[in-house]
Amino acid sequence: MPLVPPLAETTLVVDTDVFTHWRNRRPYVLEHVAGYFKRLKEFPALTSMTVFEAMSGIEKELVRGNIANEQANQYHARIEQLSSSMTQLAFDKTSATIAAYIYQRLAQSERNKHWRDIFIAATALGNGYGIATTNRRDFELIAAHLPDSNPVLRLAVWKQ
Amino acid sequence: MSTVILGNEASVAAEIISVLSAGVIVEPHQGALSMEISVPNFGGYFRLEIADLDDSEIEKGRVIVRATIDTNATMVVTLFGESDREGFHTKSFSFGFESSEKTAESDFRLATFRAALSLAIQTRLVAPGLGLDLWFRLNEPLRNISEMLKLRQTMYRAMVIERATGRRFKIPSFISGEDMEAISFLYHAITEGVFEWPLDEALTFSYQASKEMAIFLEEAEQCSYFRHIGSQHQSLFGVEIPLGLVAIRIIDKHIEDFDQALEELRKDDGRTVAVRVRSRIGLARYNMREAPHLPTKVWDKDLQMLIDMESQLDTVLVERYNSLAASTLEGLDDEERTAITERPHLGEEAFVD
Repeated sequence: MPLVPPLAETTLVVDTDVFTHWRNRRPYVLEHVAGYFKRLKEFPALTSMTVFEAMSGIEKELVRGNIANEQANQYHARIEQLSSSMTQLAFDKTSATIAAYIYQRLAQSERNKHWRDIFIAATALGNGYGIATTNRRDFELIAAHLPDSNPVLRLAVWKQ
Repeated sequence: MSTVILGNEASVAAEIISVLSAGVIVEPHQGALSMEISVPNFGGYFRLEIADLDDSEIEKGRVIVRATIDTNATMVVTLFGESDREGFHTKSFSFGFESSEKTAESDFRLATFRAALSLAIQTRLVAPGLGLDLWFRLNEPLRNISEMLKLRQTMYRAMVIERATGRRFKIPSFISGEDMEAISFLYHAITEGVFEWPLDEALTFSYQASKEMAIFLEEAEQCSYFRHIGSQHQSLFGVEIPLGLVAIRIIDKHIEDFDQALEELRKDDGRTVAVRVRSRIGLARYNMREAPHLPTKVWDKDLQMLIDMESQLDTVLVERYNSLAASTLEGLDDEERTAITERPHLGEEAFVD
């Protein structure tokens, strides 16, 4: 049973969906973030993959001509301000080793669908963090292929 | 996670909102001078004795006021302004903080005070003896305020441990990850008694080889958990804190080298046998009913006021973070939000082996 709930003092990263919902002020995220801060006196961390995804969305819209340069710079600056106000976990050598282990044990169709979450999970595991997500099933698949060095993934399912 | 204690840090500039009295320093004053700071949105009121007034650089437009937060912590207010025949007129000022000796209570007071000033919508500073009466706010980065509240929690927990155990700790400038974890562990032991805790590595237990212990180990192997009762200590800042008899239950256990350990125990010759046990799900449940307890009514009124500010400080900071998160999509309609937050895709060919 490599997928287990977090403990009271478990530090978490938010996955990209939860991060997007937070940016959209979805009430369930606001509630969980407040509860998390009350307990740990810190905010959930971001992985470099989630920062990449957030920045990538801005670049995509800029390249497609849907937003102007000035707007893109403004949104970049805000993501930068937010992410630098939080703990950012880097995709380092340990995380890369974990990601490689998981990646090569998934079927091609699974890699295609879950490659972003593999990087998030590996970064969280490599830094001793759990994950806050709305989607347990995605991480169940990843947790079924964890290396011996990191046999347990702590997953907080934040219900919408 | 480790943490660095604030103190003796660079000053933070205050943004003056309104001035009721710009501060005209009078001639040597009768009695002790004081500084009153009130933070209306937290209901906080602080009256600090002025310990030192350094006006040696008054001609250069600078006066330094040191006010005591407690016996170990000092607030340093640097007033910038101009002098004329009437005295010194404050145009701007900054805050700094100094610690002489770091104690849990002193750092808790300092962190609470500084966080309250940093999160206040506006704060009033009145120094009657200096003719100073103005409203201001501080513009600290959110990350710094978040770290202040983390430190505040850590120092609160350290105070709880001190009061429960009767020990006093000298707090180092840098708290190691081990000491941070020890603070959390001891805090849960004292305030909850029974609690779950991560167990990422194997624990080693020592047993005397006997037939009874061999049977115990055989039975334990059949069970989903491993239970051990023994006296336990926890080290914090180099001080050993006794926790009494502790029952630890290792959930979803795995006994390492079980066959070898069992064989050793069956020798029944009193030798010491080390049994290593880990949890497959990284979880242990502790029962520490003999752990020290926190006495009732342990905080004085002043300290209780600072402790009670916690939820208000949390609420204001969390809302600031929520607003910052929302600002990353500000001005976009629903369709634009969906487009800019769509997760990136790689083509099928990216995944071909």
